[in-house]
Amino acid sequence: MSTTTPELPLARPRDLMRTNRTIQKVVEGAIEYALLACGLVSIVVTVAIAAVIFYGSFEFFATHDGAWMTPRQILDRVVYFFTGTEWTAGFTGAHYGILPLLTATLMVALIAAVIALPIGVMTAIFLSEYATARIRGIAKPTLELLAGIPTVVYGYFALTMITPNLAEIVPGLNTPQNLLGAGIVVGIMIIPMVASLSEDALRAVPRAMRDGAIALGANKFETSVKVVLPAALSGVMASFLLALSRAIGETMAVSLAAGEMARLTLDPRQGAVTMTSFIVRIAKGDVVHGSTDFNSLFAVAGALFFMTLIMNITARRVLSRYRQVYQ
Amino acid sequence: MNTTQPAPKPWSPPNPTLLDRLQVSLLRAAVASLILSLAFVLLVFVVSSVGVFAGSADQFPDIRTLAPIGGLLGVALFLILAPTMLVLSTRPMQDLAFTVTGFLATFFGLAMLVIFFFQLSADVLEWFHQMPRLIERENQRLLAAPTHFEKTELAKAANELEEECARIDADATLTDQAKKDEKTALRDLFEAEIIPEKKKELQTTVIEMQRAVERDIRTDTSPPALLWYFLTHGPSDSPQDAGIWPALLGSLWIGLITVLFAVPVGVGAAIYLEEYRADSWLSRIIQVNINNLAGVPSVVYGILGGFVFVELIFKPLENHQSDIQTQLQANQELALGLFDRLLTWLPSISARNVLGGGLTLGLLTLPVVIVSAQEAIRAVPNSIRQGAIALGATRWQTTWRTVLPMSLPGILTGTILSLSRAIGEAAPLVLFGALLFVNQDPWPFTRFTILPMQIFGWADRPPITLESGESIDVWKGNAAMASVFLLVALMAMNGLAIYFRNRAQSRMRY
Repeated sequence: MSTTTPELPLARPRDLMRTNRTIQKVVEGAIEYALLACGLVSIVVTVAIAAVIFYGSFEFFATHDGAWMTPRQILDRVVYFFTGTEWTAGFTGAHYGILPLLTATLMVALIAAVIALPIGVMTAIFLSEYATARIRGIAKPTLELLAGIPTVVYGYFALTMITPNLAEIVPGLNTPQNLLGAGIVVGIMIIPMVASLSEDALRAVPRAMRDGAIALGANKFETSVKVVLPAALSGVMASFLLALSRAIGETMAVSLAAGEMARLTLDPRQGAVTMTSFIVRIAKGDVVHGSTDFNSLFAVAGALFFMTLIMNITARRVLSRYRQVYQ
Repeated sequence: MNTTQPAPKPWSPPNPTLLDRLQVSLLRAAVASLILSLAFVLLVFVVSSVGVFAGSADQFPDIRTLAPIGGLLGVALFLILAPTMLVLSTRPMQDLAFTVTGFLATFFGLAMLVIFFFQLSADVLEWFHQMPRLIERENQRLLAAPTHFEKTELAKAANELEEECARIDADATLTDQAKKDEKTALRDLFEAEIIPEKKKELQTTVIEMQRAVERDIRTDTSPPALLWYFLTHGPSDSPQDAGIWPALLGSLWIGLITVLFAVPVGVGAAIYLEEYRADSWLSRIIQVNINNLAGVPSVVYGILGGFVFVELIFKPLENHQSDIQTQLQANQELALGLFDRLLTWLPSISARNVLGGGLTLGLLTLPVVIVSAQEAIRAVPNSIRQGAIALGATRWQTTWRTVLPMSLPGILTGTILSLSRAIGEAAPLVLFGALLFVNQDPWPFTRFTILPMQIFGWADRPPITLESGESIDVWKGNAAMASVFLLVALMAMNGLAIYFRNRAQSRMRY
């Protein structure tokens, strides 16, 4: 019997791709490079952000409405930027000292922290130690809903609900815009973030510690607050830092609720413009591109970027070191 | 002799008596209230001193008013703290109080949501109540406008006539009879010629006004009609005619472009980080980078997009296109390259367009998409991958045919959550150049506006005052209505994401 190899049909490109190892290798290599390119996009984005901010800040410090300045003047400007107490961008003879904007941002973040951190940590402890499945079933979607409301709507609530009611309680409140209302609203906004991150940290504490505490006769309050919470403290601190950096970077709610004038004040009843709302105001207004006023937004954005970057890096460092302790 | 002593009782810490607890709690409350009230007084001084130093306050607060307030605060704190501490001095009560506090803290969020919901509903009902009134007012103004206009113009003409007659009367050179004749002649001229001419002049304006009446009058003020009008019209200066149609379209376009950019790039990066090179130094750098990018404030992305996409890409494109168009107008027979010919076919590009805005938001949501895709891919059990490799599949075949389909629900969840965040973000697009007042429908190369920014613009406006002196906050009502639409869309998307997440979790049951 003669064995004849059957006639293979003409190979289609797809069959070639499947069976010819050379083509496969080439295509697979190309795909891997394409995926690498996707991964490198994020690095390109970071480099681009740094480059844009650096370029804009350089233009801000080194030129004034197009004219170059001497090194001595540049140094003076840089020093005044970080230490000066007057921010009068938009007026003639403008001063660019960032302290008013910085204090306003920090005031809003502080008020937000005072509201969000205790409530967030208590929520996390309650959900991880005490809550039954039914309560978790209600509480978790509620927190996700709170986190899902857009920030402009929070600003709207600050204007229509929080400030009028605050004005009846607090004497001397500046309506409609004040730092207290903005801080309260930003605080409510970051409660879900603190709660979920703290809950992850609390959940990671080994069960053995809880069991040991209960074996020694502690009740649930003492277990949670005196044993579990200190064990998870670094994770909770990291979540505080992340939430604070979110509060500092918050823009739209603060623009609506906090104020338009740059003033250096520790009084939460007044309105003051924060770094983020200043950036938005300048970009929205009709300031000439390339003028010093416009370039000031690059410097402010640079300060903002570095603050949040440092906070985030610290928080991630603390989190990763914390994870190693228990593994 | 047997000295059997009874077995010693197990030691337990002595229970404090009520008197002990009372003493301790009173002492603690006194100390705490003293410290707190002193701190409060100090804080007020510090705040006002900073205010005086920075020029925003006039003077230090008077110590004579501050001291009694501090004292009162201390006493009030003591009266509140002492019983609380007495109650909380036993361990069971501490446990109970902690449970109650935890419960209240957890449902503080729910309480806030309920309050927000009520506030929003109240504003929406107010809007539905005020809109018909404002529309009626506008309708009456429109209806009365043509006749009102005609009457005022004719009255002006009559005034001129009276002035002429007065001038004739004041002319001392004519006799009384001559004056009377002139006045009659003038009056006849007025009746015969001037009035009809005037009426013909006014005719065109009056016809236009009547056409405007027919076009702009709104007869249907029922809630569904109001809603439909709100949805299908653009912004305007009069609050009752404002709508969100361009903003809705703009948000839809931006969302589409964001997803089309962020999902392929994000999932590709996640596949690279998880499947291909999980432990090289480059992957570690990329991973750290992504984690840091996730925490960058959104305004910074706006600045980035504003610079890179607008200055570097779209502005030169726009200038190039207008250059070509002027050249073409001058010389019809100009020979163009392929790219230039393509540019002439496109509608006129504007630098701050929808495409750039979508790409900016895509960059913003990229880290979130990457992280959630990574988690979804990580959740796929290793046995699946090993089975595919055992059957001879290459790396890409494993990923594309086994891992990705299994992780698809998780990836979809992350995509939808990041999309809902992108639609709610206004800050980067404000910096990118989204306008507040756009009346054309947005297309990829035109200027645009988005729904959150419309809310922002409307919430800022002051209330309007009617003729009766009543001031109604109707712009806030418009902002409330737009917020309702935005929230409904976001809730729908989040619900979809939760559905997909449940499907992903149920698929992973092994």
